[in-house]
Amino acid sequence: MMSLLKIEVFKIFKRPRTYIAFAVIALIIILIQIALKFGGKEYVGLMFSGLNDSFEEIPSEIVLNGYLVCFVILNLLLIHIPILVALVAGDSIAGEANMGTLRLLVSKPVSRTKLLIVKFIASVFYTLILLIWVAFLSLFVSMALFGVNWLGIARELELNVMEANDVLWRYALAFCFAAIGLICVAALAFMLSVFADNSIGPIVITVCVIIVFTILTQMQIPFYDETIKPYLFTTHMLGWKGFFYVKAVDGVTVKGSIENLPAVLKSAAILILYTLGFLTIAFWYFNKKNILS
Amino acid sequence: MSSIIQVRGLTKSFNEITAVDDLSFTVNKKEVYGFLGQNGAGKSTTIRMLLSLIRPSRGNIKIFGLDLLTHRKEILQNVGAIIEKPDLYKYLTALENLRLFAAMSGLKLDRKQLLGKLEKVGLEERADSKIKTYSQGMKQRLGIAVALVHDPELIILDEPMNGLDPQGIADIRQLINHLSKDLGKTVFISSHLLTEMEQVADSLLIIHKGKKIAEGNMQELLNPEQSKIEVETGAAADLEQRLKQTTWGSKIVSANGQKLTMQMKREEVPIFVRQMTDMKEDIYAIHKKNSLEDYFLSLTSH
Repeated sequence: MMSLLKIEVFKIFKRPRTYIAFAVIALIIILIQIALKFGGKEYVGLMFSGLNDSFEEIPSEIVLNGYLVCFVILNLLLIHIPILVALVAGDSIAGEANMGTLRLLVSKPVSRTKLLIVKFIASVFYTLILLIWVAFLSLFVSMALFGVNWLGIARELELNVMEANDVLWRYALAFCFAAIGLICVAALAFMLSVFADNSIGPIVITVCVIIVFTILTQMQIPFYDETIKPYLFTTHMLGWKGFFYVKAVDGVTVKGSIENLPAVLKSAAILILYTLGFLTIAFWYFNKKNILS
Repeated sequence: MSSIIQVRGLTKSFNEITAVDDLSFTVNKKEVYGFLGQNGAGKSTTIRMLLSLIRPSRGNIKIFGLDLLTHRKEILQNVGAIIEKPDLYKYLTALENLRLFAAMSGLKLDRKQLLGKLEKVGLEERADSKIKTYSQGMKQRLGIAVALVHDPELIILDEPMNGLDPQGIADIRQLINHLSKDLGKTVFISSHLLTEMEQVADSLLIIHKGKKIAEGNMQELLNPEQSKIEVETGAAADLEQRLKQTTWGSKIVSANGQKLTMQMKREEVPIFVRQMTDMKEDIYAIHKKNSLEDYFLSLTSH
Protein backbone atom coordinates (compact mmCIF):
# COMPACT_ATOMS: atom_id res chain seq x y z
CA MET A 1 0.00 0.00 0.00
CA MET A 2 2.79 2.45 0.93
CA SER A 3 4.66 1.88 -2.32
CA LEU A 4 1.45 2.49 -4.29
CA LEU A 5 0.82 5.66 -2.31
CA LYS A 6 4.35 6.85 -3.00
CA ILE A 7 3.74 6.27 -6.72
CA GLU A 8 0.55 8.36 -6.65
CA VAL A 9 2.12 11.21 -4.68
CA PHE A 10 5.15 11.08 -6.99
CA LYS A 11 2.87 11.38 -10.02
CA ILE A 12 0.99 14.36 -8.56
CA PHE A 13 4.10 16.30 -7.67
CA LYS A 14 5.86 15.50 -10.94
CA ARG A 15 3.22 17.39 -12.91
CA PRO A 16 4.02 21.06 -13.44
CA ARG A 17 0.36 22.03 -13.22
CA THR A 18 0.24 20.82 -9.61
CA TYR A 19 2.31 23.84 -8.69
CA ILE A 20 -0.10 26.30 -10.30
CA ALA A 21 -2.28 26.14 -7.18
CA PHE A 22 0.69 26.91 -4.93
CA ALA A 23 1.71 29.83 -7.14
CA VAL A 24 -1.86 31.20 -7.34
CA ILE A 25 -2.30 31.04 -3.57
CA ALA A 26 1.06 32.71 -2.94
CA LEU A 27 0.20 35.46 -5.42
CA ILE A 28 -3.23 36.18 -3.89
CA ILE A 29 -1.97 36.14 -0.30
CA ILE A 30 0.98 38.38 -1.11
CA LEU A 31 -1.34 40.82 -2.92
CA ILE A 32 -3.67 40.92 0.10
CA GLN A 33 -0.74 41.44 2.44
CA ILE A 34 0.64 44.29 0.29
CA ALA A 35 -2.82 45.90 0.15
CA LEU A 36 -3.25 45.69 3.92
CA LYS A 37 0.28 46.91 4.58
CA PHE A 38 -0.28 50.08 2.59
CA GLY A 39 -4.03 50.62 2.83
CA GLY A 40 -4.85 48.70 6.01
CA LYS A 41 -6.08 51.69 8.01
CA GLU A 42 -8.99 52.33 5.67
CA TYR A 43 -9.75 48.63 5.48
CA VAL A 44 -9.87 48.30 9.28
CA GLY A 45 -12.10 51.37 9.49
CA LEU A 46 -14.47 49.78 6.98
CA MET A 47 -14.36 46.42 8.68
CA PHE A 48 -15.34 47.76 12.08
CA SER A 49 -17.57 50.59 10.86
CA GLY A 50 -20.70 49.11 12.42
CA LEU A 51 -19.21 48.99 15.90
CA ASN A 52 -19.27 51.65 18.63
CA ASP A 53 -17.10 54.75 18.55
CA SER A 54 -14.68 53.73 21.29
CA PHE A 55 -13.14 51.21 18.97
CA GLU A 56 -12.09 53.92 16.55
CA GLU A 57 -9.75 55.35 19.19
CA ILE A 58 -7.50 52.27 19.08
CA PRO A 59 -4.59 52.76 16.66
CA SER A 60 -5.01 50.68 13.52
CA GLU A 61 -1.40 49.38 13.88
CA ILE A 62 -2.58 47.43 16.94
CA VAL A 63 -5.78 46.13 15.38
CA LEU A 64 -4.16 45.30 12.06
CA ASN A 65 -1.75 42.63 13.22
CA GLY A 66 -0.74 39.26 11.79
CA TYR A 67 -3.67 37.45 13.39
CA LEU A 68 -6.27 39.76 11.87
CA VAL A 69 -4.56 39.66 8.47
CA CYS A 70 -4.67 35.86 8.57
CA PHE A 71 -8.39 35.97 9.45
CA VAL A 72 -9.06 38.34 6.55
CA ILE A 73 -7.12 36.11 4.14
CA LEU A 74 -8.90 32.95 5.26
CA ASN A 75 -12.26 34.69 5.00
CA LEU A 76 -11.47 35.56 1.40
CA LEU A 77 -9.63 32.39 0.39
CA LEU A 78 -11.33 29.43 2.01
CA ILE A 79 -14.16 29.74 -0.50
CA HIS A 80 -11.73 29.60 -3.41
CA ILE A 81 -9.16 27.01 -2.32
CA PRO A 82 -11.68 24.21 -3.01
CA ILE A 83 -11.47 25.12 -6.67
CA LEU A 84 -7.74 24.45 -6.59
CA VAL A 85 -8.31 21.19 -4.73
CA ALA A 86 -10.74 20.13 -7.46
CA LEU A 87 -7.99 20.56 -10.05
CA VAL A 88 -6.10 17.60 -8.64
CA ALA A 89 -8.87 15.46 -7.14
CA GLY A 90 -11.04 15.83 -10.26
CA ASP A 91 -8.13 14.73 -12.41
CA SER A 92 -7.33 11.73 -10.25
CA ILE A 93 -9.19 9.01 -12.18
CA ALA A 94 -10.58 10.91 -15.17
CA GLY A 95 -7.10 12.24 -16.00
CA GLU A 96 -5.73 8.70 -16.08
CA ALA A 97 -8.61 7.66 -18.33
CA ASN A 98 -7.95 10.61 -20.60
CA MET A 99 -4.22 9.83 -20.82
CA GLY A 100 -4.99 6.17 -21.52
CA THR A 101 -3.06 5.00 -18.47
CA LEU A 102 -6.11 3.89 -16.48
CA ARG A 103 -6.40 0.63 -18.45
CA LEU A 104 -2.74 -0.11 -17.71
CA LEU A 105 -3.21 0.62 -13.99
CA VAL A 106 -6.34 -1.51 -13.70
CA SER A 107 -4.70 -4.41 -15.53
CA LYS A 108 -1.99 -4.56 -12.85
CA PRO A 109 -2.27 -6.98 -9.92
CA VAL A 110 -3.76 -4.36 -7.61
CA SER A 111 -7.42 -4.41 -6.65
CA ARG A 112 -9.57 -1.53 -7.84
CA THR A 113 -10.51 -0.70 -4.26
CA LYS A 114 -6.86 -0.43 -3.25
CA LEU A 115 -6.10 1.67 -6.32
CA LEU A 116 -8.92 4.05 -5.44
CA ILE A 117 -7.87 4.25 -1.79
CA VAL A 118 -4.30 5.25 -2.63
CA LYS A 119 -5.49 7.72 -5.23
CA PHE A 120 -7.82 9.38 -2.76
CA ILE A 121 -5.19 9.44 -0.02
CA ALA A 122 -2.79 11.05 -2.51
CA SER A 123 -5.43 13.72 -3.27
CA VAL A 124 -5.87 14.30 0.47
CA PHE A 125 -2.11 14.55 0.87
CA TYR A 126 -2.00 17.22 -1.85
CA THR A 127 -4.90 19.06 -0.18
CA LEU A 128 -3.14 19.07 3.17
CA ILE A 129 0.15 20.28 1.67
CA LEU A 130 -1.80 23.07 -0.03
CA LEU A 131 -3.44 23.98 3.27
CA ILE A 132 -0.08 23.99 5.08
CA TRP A 133 1.18 26.34 2.36
CA VAL A 134 -1.84 28.60 3.00
CA ALA A 135 -1.22 28.45 6.74
CA PHE A 136 2.44 29.30 6.33
CA LEU A 137 1.79 32.29 4.08
CA SER A 138 -1.36 33.63 5.70
CA LEU A 139 -0.49 33.09 9.35
CA PHE A 140 3.26 32.90 9.83
CA VAL A 141 4.30 35.33 7.09
CA SER A 142 1.56 37.75 8.24
CA MET A 143 2.76 37.42 11.85
CA ALA A 144 6.28 38.26 10.64
CA LEU A 145 5.11 41.22 8.53
CA PHE A 146 2.43 42.72 10.78
CA GLY A 147 3.46 41.56 14.24
CA VAL A 148 1.25 39.94 16.86
CA ASN A 149 -1.38 41.51 19.10
CA TRP A 150 -4.90 40.83 20.31
CA LEU A 151 -7.39 39.69 17.69
CA GLY A 152 -10.67 41.49 17.18
CA ILE A 153 -13.35 39.89 15.06
CA ALA A 154 -16.39 41.96 14.09
CA ARG A 155 -19.70 40.07 14.18
CA GLU A 156 -22.60 42.16 13.04
CA LEU A 157 -22.87 44.64 15.92
CA GLU A 158 -20.52 43.03 18.40
CA LEU A 159 -16.82 42.55 18.65
CA ASN A 160 -15.13 39.34 19.75
CA VAL A 161 -11.76 40.10 21.24
CA MET A 162 -9.13 37.46 21.95
CA GLU A 163 -5.86 38.06 23.72
CA ALA A 164 -2.72 37.42 21.69
CA ASN A 165 -1.90 34.27 23.65
CA ASP A 166 -5.44 32.95 23.11
CA VAL A 167 -5.32 32.92 19.30
CA LEU A 168 -2.77 30.48 17.92
CA TRP A 169 -4.60 27.35 19.11
CA ARG A 170 -7.76 28.69 17.49
CA TYR A 171 -5.95 28.92 14.16
CA ALA A 172 -4.58 25.40 14.60
CA LEU A 173 -8.14 24.08 15.05
CA ALA A 174 -9.49 26.32 12.28
CA PHE A 175 -6.95 24.88 9.84
CA CYS A 176 -7.83 21.35 10.97
CA PHE A 177 -11.50 22.17 10.35
CA ALA A 178 -10.62 23.67 6.96
CA ALA A 179 -8.82 20.42 6.15
CA ILE A 180 -12.05 18.49 6.80
CA GLY A 181 -13.94 20.90 4.53
CA LEU A 182 -11.38 20.69 1.74
CA ILE A 183 -11.19 16.89 1.97
CA CYS A 184 -14.97 16.91 1.51
CA VAL A 185 -14.55 18.94 -1.69
CA ALA A 186 -11.73 16.60 -2.79
CA ALA A 187 -14.09 13.64 -2.23
CA LEU A 188 -16.77 15.30 -4.38
CA ALA A 189 -14.33 15.97 -7.23
CA PHE A 190 -12.88 12.47 -6.81
CA MET A 191 -16.33 10.87 -7.03
CA LEU A 192 -17.15 12.82 -10.19
CA SER A 193 -13.75 11.85 -11.59
CA VAL A 194 -14.64 8.16 -11.33
CA PHE A 195 -17.64 8.71 -13.60
CA ALA A 196 -15.73 10.60 -16.30
CA ASP A 197 -13.09 9.89 -18.92
CA ASN A 198 -11.93 13.48 -19.10
CA SER A 199 -10.91 15.61 -16.13
CA ILE A 200 -12.50 18.83 -17.40
CA GLY A 201 -16.00 17.55 -16.58
CA PRO A 202 -15.42 16.67 -12.91
CA ILE A 203 -13.40 19.84 -12.29
CA VAL A 204 -16.01 22.11 -13.88
CA ILE A 205 -18.93 20.37 -12.14
CA THR A 206 -17.18 20.58 -8.76
CA VAL A 207 -16.46 24.27 -9.26
CA CYS A 208 -20.08 24.90 -10.34
CA VAL A 209 -21.43 23.03 -7.31
CA ILE A 210 -19.21 25.08 -5.00
CA ILE A 211 -20.20 28.36 -6.65
CA VAL A 212 -23.95 27.61 -6.61
CA PHE A 213 -23.90 26.22 -3.05
CA THR A 214 -21.82 29.16 -1.82
CA ILE A 215 -24.25 31.65 -3.34
CA LEU A 216 -27.14 29.81 -1.67
CA THR A 217 -25.21 29.72 1.61
CA GLN A 218 -24.61 33.45 1.55
CA MET A 219 -28.10 34.49 0.42
CA GLN A 220 -29.97 36.14 3.24
CA ILE A 221 -33.37 34.61 2.53
CA PRO A 222 -35.17 33.19 5.61
CA PHE A 223 -36.86 30.46 3.53
CA TYR A 224 -33.48 29.03 2.48
CA ASP A 225 -32.08 29.34 6.02
CA GLU A 226 -34.29 26.48 7.16
CA THR A 227 -34.89 24.47 4.00
CA ILE A 228 -31.66 24.31 2.04
CA LYS A 229 -28.75 25.87 3.89
CA PRO A 230 -28.51 23.31 6.71
CA TYR A 231 -27.99 20.57 4.11
CA LEU A 232 -25.35 22.26 1.94
CA PHE A 233 -21.79 21.23 2.70
CA THR A 234 -20.64 24.74 1.81
CA THR A 235 -22.64 26.07 4.78
CA HIS A 236 -20.70 23.81 7.12
CA MET A 237 -17.37 24.63 5.48
CA LEU A 238 -17.68 28.05 7.13
CA GLY A 239 -17.71 26.34 10.52
CA TRP A 240 -14.00 27.18 11.04
CA LYS A 241 -15.10 30.69 12.04
CA GLY A 242 -16.72 29.18 15.11
CA PHE A 243 -13.31 28.89 16.74
CA PHE A 244 -13.10 32.70 16.76
CA TYR A 245 -16.54 33.31 18.29
CA VAL A 246 -16.02 33.52 22.01
CA LYS A 247 -18.06 33.60 25.21
CA ALA A 248 -18.05 36.83 27.18
CA VAL A 249 -19.02 37.61 30.77
CA ASP A 250 -19.79 41.25 31.53
CA GLY A 251 -18.28 42.24 28.22
CA VAL A 252 -15.01 40.45 28.96
CA THR A 253 -13.95 37.50 26.83
CA VAL A 254 -13.62 34.18 28.61
CA LYS A 255 -10.15 33.05 27.65
CA GLY A 256 -10.05 29.69 25.86
CA SER A 257 -13.79 29.68 25.23
CA ILE A 258 -15.70 28.79 22.09
CA GLU A 259 -19.20 30.20 21.91
CA ASN A 260 -20.89 27.21 20.28
CA LEU A 261 -18.59 24.20 20.14
CA PRO A 262 -21.43 21.68 19.48
CA ALA A 263 -22.37 23.61 16.32
CA VAL A 264 -18.76 23.50 15.13
CA LEU A 265 -18.53 19.78 15.85
CA LYS A 266 -21.86 19.20 14.13
CA SER A 267 -20.60 20.96 11.02
CA ALA A 268 -17.43 18.86 11.06
CA ALA A 269 -19.50 15.68 11.42
CA ILE A 270 -21.74 16.68 8.52
CA LEU A 271 -18.70 17.32 6.32
CA ILE A 272 -17.28 13.91 7.25
CA LEU A 273 -20.62 12.29 6.41
CA TYR A 274 -20.66 14.02 3.04
CA THR A 275 -17.09 12.79 2.43
CA LEU A 276 -18.02 9.22 3.29
CA GLY A 277 -21.09 9.44 1.06
CA PHE A 278 -19.08 10.70 -1.93
CA LEU A 279 -16.45 8.01 -1.39
CA THR A 280 -19.02 5.21 -1.06
CA ILE A 281 -20.51 6.16 -4.42
CA ALA A 282 -17.03 6.40 -5.97
CA PHE A 283 -15.99 2.94 -4.73
CA TRP A 284 -19.30 1.34 -5.68
CA TYR A 285 -19.19 2.68 -9.21
CA PHE A 286 -15.47 2.18 -9.89
CA ASN A 287 -15.57 -1.46 -8.85
CA LYS A 288 -18.18 -2.26 -11.47
CA LYS A 289 -17.03 0.19 -14.12
CA ASN A 290 -16.06 -1.09 -17.56
CA ILE A 291 -12.73 0.49 -18.45
CA LEU A 292 -13.27 1.49 -22.06
CA SER A 293 -10.90 4.47 -22.28
CA MET B 1 0.27 -29.32 -24.29
CA SER B 2 -1.07 -27.40 -21.28
CA SER B 3 -3.46 -24.54 -21.84
CA ILE B 4 -2.74 -21.04 -20.56
CA ILE B 5 -6.01 -19.34 -21.50
CA GLN B 6 -9.36 -21.11 -21.57
CA VAL B 7 -12.33 -19.04 -22.61
CA ARG B 8 -15.80 -20.56 -22.64
CA GLY B 9 -19.02 -18.92 -23.83
CA LEU B 10 -17.67 -15.41 -23.35
CA THR B 11 -20.31 -12.78 -24.08
CA LYS B 12 -20.36 -9.06 -23.56
CA SER B 13 -23.32 -6.84 -24.29
CA PHE B 14 -23.44 -3.07 -24.03
CA ASN B 15 -27.13 -2.24 -23.75
CA GLU B 16 -28.60 -3.60 -26.99
CA ILE B 17 -25.29 -4.27 -28.73
CA THR B 18 -23.54 -7.62 -28.35
CA ALA B 19 -19.84 -6.87 -28.80
CA VAL B 20 -18.65 -10.42 -28.07
CA ASP B 21 -20.99 -13.32 -28.63
CA ASP B 22 -20.46 -16.75 -27.08
CA LEU B 23 -16.72 -16.85 -27.76
CA SER B 24 -14.72 -19.94 -26.79
CA PHE B 25 -11.04 -20.63 -27.42
CA THR B 26 -7.95 -22.13 -25.87
CA VAL B 27 -4.43 -20.78 -25.96
CA ASN B 28 -1.67 -23.28 -25.29
CA LYS B 29 1.59 -22.73 -23.48
CA LYS B 30 4.50 -21.24 -25.46
CA GLU B 31 2.18 -20.53 -28.36
CA VAL B 32 1.93 -17.30 -30.36
CA TYR B 33 -1.82 -17.01 -30.70
CA GLY B 34 -3.07 -14.59 -33.31
CA PHE B 35 -6.39 -12.86 -32.78
CA LEU B 36 -7.89 -11.45 -35.97
CA GLY B 37 -10.95 -9.47 -36.76
CA GLN B 38 -12.03 -6.33 -38.54
CA ASN B 39 -12.40 -3.05 -36.69
CA GLY B 40 -15.31 -3.38 -34.30
CA ALA B 41 -15.27 -7.18 -34.45
CA GLY B 42 -14.87 -7.40 -30.67
CA LYS B 43 -11.11 -7.94 -30.35
CA SER B 44 -10.41 -5.14 -27.90
CA THR B 45 -13.48 -5.98 -25.83
CA THR B 46 -12.27 -9.58 -25.57
CA ILE B 47 -8.76 -8.49 -24.59
CA ARG B 48 -10.16 -6.11 -21.99
CA MET B 49 -12.19 -8.97 -20.54
CA LEU B 50 -9.02 -11.10 -20.38
CA LEU B 51 -7.41 -8.32 -18.37
CA SER B 52 -10.48 -7.78 -16.15
CA LEU B 53 -10.99 -4.25 -17.43
CA ILE B 54 -14.47 -5.22 -18.57
CA ARG B 55 -16.75 -7.61 -16.76
CA PRO B 56 -18.27 -10.26 -19.07
CA SER B 57 -22.05 -10.46 -19.35
CA ARG B 58 -21.75 -14.24 -19.54
CA GLY B 59 -19.10 -16.90 -19.82
CA ASN B 60 -15.95 -17.90 -18.08
CA ILE B 61 -12.26 -17.04 -18.39
CA LYS B 62 -9.55 -19.25 -16.93
CA ILE B 63 -5.92 -18.20 -17.11
CA PHE B 64 -3.17 -20.48 -15.78
CA GLY B 65 -6.04 -22.79 -14.79
CA LEU B 66 -7.49 -20.18 -12.41
CA ASP B 67 -10.80 -18.38 -12.69
CA LEU B 68 -10.17 -14.73 -13.54
CA LEU B 69 -13.11 -13.54 -11.48
CA THR B 70 -11.87 -15.09 -8.25
CA HIS B 71 -8.08 -15.13 -8.79
CA ARG B 72 -7.58 -11.81 -10.54
CA LYS B 73 -4.52 -10.74 -8.58
CA GLU B 74 -2.60 -14.03 -8.91
CA ILE B 75 -3.33 -14.13 -12.63
CA LEU B 76 -2.41 -10.53 -13.41
CA GLN B 77 0.83 -10.94 -11.47
CA ASN B 78 1.94 -13.11 -14.35
CA VAL B 79 0.45 -11.22 -17.29
CA GLY B 80 2.01 -8.36 -19.25
CA ALA B 81 -0.05 -6.36 -21.68
CA ILE B 82 -0.24 -3.57 -24.19
CA ILE B 83 -3.83 -2.52 -24.72
CA GLU B 84 -4.43 -0.64 -27.96
CA LYS B 85 -1.72 2.01 -27.80
CA PRO B 86 0.91 2.14 -25.11
CA ASP B 87 -0.15 5.32 -23.34
CA LEU B 88 2.25 6.13 -20.54
CA TYR B 89 2.90 9.19 -18.36
CA LYS B 90 4.20 11.77 -20.82
CA TYR B 91 5.57 14.02 -18.10
CA LEU B 92 7.74 11.23 -16.71
CA THR B 93 10.92 9.74 -18.15
CA ALA B 94 11.12 6.22 -19.56
CA LEU B 95 12.98 5.09 -16.46
CA GLU B 96 10.38 6.63 -14.13
CA ASN B 97 7.53 5.02 -16.08
CA LEU B 98 9.22 1.64 -15.97
CA ARG B 99 10.02 1.93 -12.25
CA LEU B 100 6.44 2.95 -11.51
CA PHE B 101 4.85 0.02 -13.34
CA ALA B 102 7.40 -2.42 -11.92
CA ALA B 103 6.41 -1.23 -8.46
CA MET B 104 2.75 -1.79 -9.31
CA SER B 105 3.64 -5.42 -10.02
CA GLY B 106 5.39 -5.61 -6.66
CA LEU B 107 8.95 -5.23 -7.97
CA LYS B 108 11.56 -2.81 -6.71
CA LEU B 109 14.19 -2.47 -9.41
CA ASP B 110 17.32 -0.34 -9.21
CA ARG B 111 18.54 1.90 -12.02
CA LYS B 112 20.89 -0.73 -13.40
CA GLN B 113 18.12 -3.34 -13.61
CA LEU B 114 15.76 -0.84 -15.23
CA LEU B 115 18.39 0.18 -17.77
CA GLY B 116 18.85 -3.51 -18.58
CA LYS B 117 15.12 -3.77 -19.32
CA LEU B 118 15.26 -0.66 -21.52
CA GLU B 119 18.33 -2.00 -23.32
CA LYS B 120 16.28 -4.97 -24.52
CA VAL B 121 14.02 -2.59 -26.45
CA GLY B 122 16.86 -0.29 -27.50
CA LEU B 123 15.91 2.67 -25.32
CA GLU B 124 18.70 2.72 -22.74
CA GLU B 125 20.23 5.88 -24.23
CA ARG B 126 16.92 7.73 -23.89
CA ALA B 127 16.16 6.38 -20.43
CA ASP B 128 16.12 9.83 -18.85
CA SER B 129 14.13 11.57 -21.58
CA LYS B 130 10.51 12.44 -20.96
CA ILE B 131 8.01 10.37 -22.94
CA LYS B 132 6.55 13.47 -24.57
CA THR B 133 9.79 13.69 -26.61
CA TYR B 134 9.45 10.09 -27.87
CA SER B 135 8.37 9.03 -31.35
CA GLN B 136 5.43 6.64 -31.75
CA GLY B 137 7.82 3.75 -32.35
CA MET B 138 9.79 4.53 -29.21
CA LYS B 139 6.59 4.72 -27.18
CA GLN B 140 5.59 1.35 -28.56
CA ARG B 141 8.92 -0.17 -27.57
CA LEU B 142 8.68 1.35 -24.11
CA GLY B 143 5.15 -0.05 -23.85
CA ILE B 144 6.60 -3.49 -24.52
CA ALA B 145 9.30 -2.93 -21.91
CA VAL B 146 6.55 -1.99 -19.42
CA ALA B 147 4.57 -5.11 -20.36
CA LEU B 148 7.64 -7.30 -19.84
CA VAL B 149 9.14 -5.57 -16.81
CA HIS B 150 7.91 -8.20 -14.35
CA ASP B 151 8.87 -11.12 -16.62
CA PRO B 152 5.30 -12.39 -17.14
CA GLU B 153 4.49 -15.83 -18.46
CA LEU B 154 1.61 -14.60 -20.63
CA ILE B 155 1.96 -11.54 -22.83
CA ILE B 156 -1.14 -9.95 -24.33
CA LEU B 157 -0.48 -7.51 -27.15
CA ASP B 158 -3.31 -5.55 -28.70
CA GLU B 159 -2.20 -4.16 -32.06
CA PRO B 160 1.48 -3.87 -31.05
CA MET B 161 2.61 -2.91 -34.54
CA ASN B 162 0.31 0.09 -34.86
CA GLY B 163 2.08 3.23 -35.99
CA LEU B 164 5.46 1.56 -36.43
CA ASP B 165 7.77 1.97 -39.41
CA PRO B 166 8.93 -1.19 -41.27
CA GLN B 167 12.04 -1.50 -39.12
CA GLY B 168 9.93 -1.13 -35.98
CA ILE B 169 7.53 -3.82 -37.21
CA ALA B 170 10.45 -6.14 -37.96
CA ASP B 171 11.86 -5.49 -34.46
CA ILE B 172 8.53 -6.36 -32.83
CA ARG B 173 8.24 -9.49 -34.96
CA GLN B 174 11.73 -10.53 -33.87
CA LEU B 175 10.90 -9.78 -30.25
CA ILE B 176 7.72 -11.88 -30.37
CA ASN B 177 9.65 -14.79 -31.87
CA HIS B 178 12.32 -14.39 -29.19
CA LEU B 179 9.72 -14.32 -26.41
CA SER B 180 7.98 -17.41 -27.69
CA LYS B 181 10.76 -19.56 -29.13
CA ASP B 182 13.69 -18.63 -26.87
CA LEU B 183 12.02 -17.69 -23.59
CA GLY B 184 9.01 -19.99 -23.79
CA LYS B 185 6.45 -17.25 -23.20
CA THR B 186 2.88 -17.47 -24.38
CA VAL B 187 1.90 -14.55 -26.59
CA PHE B 188 -1.68 -13.56 -27.35
CA ILE B 189 -1.59 -10.98 -30.09
CA SER B 190 -4.23 -9.09 -32.00
CA SER B 191 -3.33 -7.20 -35.13
CA HIS B 192 -4.89 -6.02 -38.32
CA LEU B 193 -1.52 -6.43 -40.11
CA LEU B 194 -2.33 -9.81 -41.56
CA THR B 195 1.01 -10.41 -43.27
CA GLU B 196 2.77 -9.79 -39.98
CA MET B 197 0.38 -12.09 -38.18
CA GLU B 198 1.07 -14.74 -40.76
CA GLN B 199 4.75 -14.54 -39.94
CA VAL B 200 4.53 -14.72 -36.16
CA ALA B 201 1.40 -16.65 -35.18
CA ASP B 202 1.30 -20.41 -34.57
CA SER B 203 -2.49 -20.48 -34.19
CA LEU B 204 -5.26 -18.15 -35.17
CA LEU B 205 -8.66 -17.12 -33.98
CA ILE B 206 -10.77 -15.05 -36.33
CA ILE B 207 -13.83 -13.24 -35.06
CA HIS B 208 -16.45 -11.35 -36.98
CA LYS B 209 -19.21 -9.27 -35.41
CA GLY B 210 -18.28 -10.72 -32.03
CA LYS B 211 -18.56 -14.36 -33.12
CA LYS B 212 -15.81 -16.88 -33.77
CA ILE B 213 -15.68 -17.77 -37.44
CA ALA B 214 -12.42 -19.74 -37.56
CA GLU B 215 -9.86 -21.13 -35.17
CA GLY B 216 -6.92 -23.43 -35.61
CA ASN B 217 -3.34 -23.97 -36.49
CA MET B 218 -2.07 -21.49 -39.05
CA GLN B 219 -0.97 -24.23 -41.51
CA GLU B 220 -4.33 -25.98 -41.31
CA LEU B 221 -6.26 -22.78 -41.84
CA LEU B 222 -4.27 -21.67 -44.83
CA ASN B 223 -4.65 -25.12 -46.43
CA PRO B 224 -1.27 -25.65 -48.06
CA GLU B 225 -2.73 -28.65 -49.93
CA GLN B 226 -4.44 -26.20 -52.27
CA SER B 227 -1.88 -23.54 -53.20
CA LYS B 228 -2.99 -20.51 -55.08
CA ILE B 229 -0.20 -19.26 -57.33
CA GLU B 230 0.22 -16.18 -59.44
CA VAL B 231 2.16 -16.67 -62.68
CA GLU B 232 3.78 -13.59 -64.17
CA THR B 233 4.04 -13.90 -67.94
CA GLY B 234 4.11 -11.78 -71.13
CA ALA B 235 0.37 -11.96 -71.83
CA ALA B 236 -1.79 -13.84 -69.37
CA ALA B 237 -4.73 -14.20 -71.78
CA ASP B 238 -2.56 -15.96 -74.40
CA LEU B 239 -1.12 -18.36 -71.84
CA GLU B 240 -4.62 -19.00 -70.55
CA GLN B 241 -5.73 -20.07 -74.06
CA ARG B 242 -2.80 -22.45 -74.45
CA LEU B 243 -3.26 -23.93 -70.96
CA LYS B 244 -6.95 -24.52 -71.57
CA GLN B 245 -5.93 -27.07 -74.16
CA THR B 246 -4.07 -29.01 -71.44
CA THR B 247 -5.06 -30.55 -68.13
CA TRP B 248 -3.90 -27.31 -66.42
CA GLY B 249 -6.82 -25.44 -67.92
CA SER B 250 -9.17 -26.54 -65.13
CA LYS B 251 -6.86 -25.04 -62.54
CA ILE B 252 -7.01 -21.48 -63.89
CA VAL B 253 -8.73 -19.03 -61.56
CA SER B 254 -8.26 -15.78 -63.48
CA ALA B 255 -6.13 -14.04 -66.07
CA ASN B 256 -5.48 -10.38 -65.82
CA GLY B 257 -2.87 -8.40 -67.79
CA GLN B 258 0.42 -10.15 -67.19
CA LYS B 259 -0.82 -12.21 -64.25
CA LEU B 260 -2.44 -15.60 -64.36
CA THR B 261 -3.83 -16.96 -61.12
CA MET B 262 -4.14 -20.72 -60.69
CA GLN B 263 -5.10 -23.11 -57.90
CA MET B 264 -3.41 -26.49 -57.59
CA LYS B 265 -2.05 -28.95 -55.09
CA ARG B 266 1.27 -28.05 -53.55
CA GLU B 267 3.07 -31.04 -55.14
CA GLU B 268 1.74 -30.06 -58.58
CA VAL B 269 3.58 -26.73 -58.56
CA PRO B 270 7.06 -28.09 -59.54
CA ILE B 271 5.45 -30.25 -62.26
CA PHE B 272 3.70 -27.18 -63.64
CA VAL B 273 6.98 -25.21 -63.60
CA ARG B 274 8.78 -28.02 -65.51
CA GLN B 275 6.02 -28.21 -68.12
CA MET B 276 6.08 -24.46 -68.66
CA THR B 277 9.80 -24.75 -69.32
CA ASP B 278 9.19 -27.62 -71.74
CA MET B 279 6.49 -25.58 -73.49
CA LYS B 280 9.04 -22.75 -73.73
CA GLU B 281 6.61 -20.36 -72.10
CA ASP B 282 8.13 -17.06 -70.90
CA ILE B 283 7.59 -17.18 -67.14
CA TYR B 284 9.07 -14.24 -65.30
CA ALA B 285 7.99 -15.13 -61.77
CA ILE B 286 5.69 -17.38 -59.76
CA HIS B 287 4.29 -16.14 -56.42
CA LYS B 288 2.44 -18.11 -53.82
CA LYS B 289 -0.88 -16.36 -53.29
CA ASN B 290 -2.25 -18.39 -50.44
CA SER B 291 -2.10 -15.60 -47.88
CA LEU B 292 -3.80 -15.04 -44.62
CA GLU B 293 -5.30 -11.95 -46.16
CA ASP B 294 -7.14 -14.01 -48.81
CA TYR B 295 -8.37 -16.39 -46.20
CA PHE B 296 -9.42 -13.61 -43.85
CA LEU B 297 -11.27 -11.74 -46.58
CA SER B 298 -12.99 -14.89 -47.77
CA LEU B 299 -14.40 -15.33 -44.28
CA THR B 300 -15.31 -11.78 -43.45
CA SER B 301 -16.27 -10.12 -46.72
CA HIS B 302 -19.79 -11.53 -46.87
